[in-house]
Amino acid sequence: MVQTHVRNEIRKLRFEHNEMTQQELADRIGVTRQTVNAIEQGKYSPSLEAAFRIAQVFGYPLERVFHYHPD
Amino acid sequence: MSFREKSAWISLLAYLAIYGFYFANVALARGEADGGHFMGLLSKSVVLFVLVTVVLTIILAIGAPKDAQTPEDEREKLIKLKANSAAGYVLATGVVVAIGALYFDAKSFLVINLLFFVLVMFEVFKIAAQLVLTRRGV
Repeated sequence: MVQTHVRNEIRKLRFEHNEMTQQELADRIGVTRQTVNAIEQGKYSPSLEAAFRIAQVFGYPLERVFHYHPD
Repeated sequence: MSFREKSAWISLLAYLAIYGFYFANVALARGEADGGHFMGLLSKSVVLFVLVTVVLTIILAIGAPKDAQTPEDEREKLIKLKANSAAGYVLATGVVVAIGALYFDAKSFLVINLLFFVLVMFEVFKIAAQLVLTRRGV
């Protein structure tokens, strides 16, 4: 399985936001549920725009949601 | 499994089963080909392929209307682009082989079927790549 260098806190943040489902988050940022799942698992790095939209949903800055791990 | 993934599986299996049957018949003819017979078989294969994929995709869409109406998102578009790009090598290689066959005076029946086989392989490879990238990640 391909793992990107971008890790994220989306699963934790969804839980903290009234156990938001992947589908709810997907609907709010305009992608499919499968794409939210792929982002959470680190199988896909979202575009900058999608990353900003995700951070905006949770009300946090981008770097609170996504982290870059080059190794 | 998403609607689009299921739809891709339907296309892949239909390509392999229907055109596989057609090309098995072509291979078994071993050059003793009756062009008219194979043109008829090819036409029937194309019609059957369209019918099978359209009907099964409609049934799938009825079962998951929301999924079916959702436009492709950025990940799905990227998967399609990468799969297309990878399958392009199959197409290019096949066309070079067909040119080689023409150069060595191959029968038109062989060249026509070779080109059609290349087109089918291009689609099969593209769909397979999409399915792999969807599961493995991009």
